[in-house]
Amino acid sequence: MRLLEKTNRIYLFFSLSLYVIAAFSMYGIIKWLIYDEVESRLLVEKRDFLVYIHHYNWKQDSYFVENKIEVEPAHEPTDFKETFKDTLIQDRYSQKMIPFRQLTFYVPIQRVEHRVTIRKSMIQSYRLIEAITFTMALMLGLLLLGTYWFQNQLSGRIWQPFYDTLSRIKHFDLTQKQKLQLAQPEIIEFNELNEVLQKMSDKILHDYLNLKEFTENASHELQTPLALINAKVEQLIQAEQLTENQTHWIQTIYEASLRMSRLNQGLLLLAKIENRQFVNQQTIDLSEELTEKLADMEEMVQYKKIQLSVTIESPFMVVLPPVLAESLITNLVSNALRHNVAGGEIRLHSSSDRLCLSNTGHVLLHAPNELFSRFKKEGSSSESLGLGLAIVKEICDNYGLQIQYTEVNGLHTFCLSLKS
Amino acid sequence: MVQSLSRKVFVKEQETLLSRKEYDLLLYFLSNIDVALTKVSIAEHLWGDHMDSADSLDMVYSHIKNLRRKLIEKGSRDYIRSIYGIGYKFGEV
Repeated sequence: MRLLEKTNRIYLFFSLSLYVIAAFSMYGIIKWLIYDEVESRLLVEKRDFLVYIHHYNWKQDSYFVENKIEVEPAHEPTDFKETFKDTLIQDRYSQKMIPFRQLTFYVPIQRVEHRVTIRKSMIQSYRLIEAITFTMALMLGLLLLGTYWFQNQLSGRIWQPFYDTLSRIKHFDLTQKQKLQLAQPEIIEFNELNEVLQKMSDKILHDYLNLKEFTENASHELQTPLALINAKVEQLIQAEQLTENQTHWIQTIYEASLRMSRLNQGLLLLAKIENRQFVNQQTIDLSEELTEKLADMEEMVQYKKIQLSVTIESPFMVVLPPVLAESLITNLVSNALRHNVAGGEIRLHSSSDRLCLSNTGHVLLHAPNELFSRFKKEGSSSESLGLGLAIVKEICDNYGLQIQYTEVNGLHTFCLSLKS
Repeated sequence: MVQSLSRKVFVKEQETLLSRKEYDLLLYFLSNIDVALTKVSIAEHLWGDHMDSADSLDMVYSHIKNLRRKLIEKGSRDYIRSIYGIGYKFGEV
């Protein structure tokens, strides 16, 4: 739930309950006030009536209007208390039931106990109550809506810099090598937040670029001396008069320097992919390339007595620079071969949205999510560089592909799919 | 004699049937006569840069063994010499 949505909801819930309480209590108070008024008038009329019957005699056809006062002998007075009561009486003209408030009291007239009921029509008062309540409810409602709208607008505007910062951070990408640009909002807290973020991102970017530059320079500068060593060692091998010990040493040097140049090439390749230095992207049928590569490795496959099964439902097309497609495939295939067991299996399965290469092999020593990290090697085999899968991952990340690793019963599967 | 167009190899006018890799291997030797070739560079030549596993070195050995056998069977002299610890050299003994 968004921040504004949350505060709005709380606000709305709170003000609605307040609104309901206020409306009901308003209705109650007005009603009480009006009843109080009517009752005090009834009491005044009672006094008038008492004064009247004290001076004059009571006749049924008195001046009192019908319904307004009713006097009858009380035969069995149960209670001599005066009571107020709501009642409905039919109107003489319109036949409608009209609400009345009545005061009943007992008084002796000509020494006979009489029950006297004085009534007052409430119809006007009810109308008043309705009108007042309705108006107040309307006003309160308008007020409520108004403040709600205002609060909505206000918090929207106040949090605007925050959302602005948020979206800019989201779009911040280290590899773009562009500094994070944040606005300078009025509000001190947001301003401080932006300053801190700015400082942090600048530092990160600076370190990132430094590190990258170092790796690139190191790999680049190492190339020439390495090539020199290789060339000279190869010349040394051609020399005729070498003792057994000497050839052994030379062999070791040769292997070590070859390995070093391979590592170097791998690191350079990674750096180049990161920097997107490969142009000339083409649509390539990866399933076909993979099948060809596997065919090319036929001797190796036979040598390790590996069962090869290829299922191609439909070709898997990607857009990649051809050099990288080649590298991707070679690394996947050599990985599948290297970690395979004698008498194992390699399966290739291709559909239009997925390309899976599975191979049998030993259980992983590392956590699967470390599989794609650089220099994470399975086993101590010094032959492997530990860069192959890192290169595969880097290619995938940079060219809109996804690679997934799963392992079921010793069958290790790498699946390529297009990033949606 | 090697016919590079049809990828056929003849020893004393007899055709020798070689597999693709064996043919490539022979061609590599012929273009590097009297040069010591390391096992690693042979493996790289046959399978590309990335096949740097111990298996590929074993396979170099078996391929060379087969090539040697096929050539000798047809009456060729043994031109392939192994250099201890390093690799192989093709040339007159």
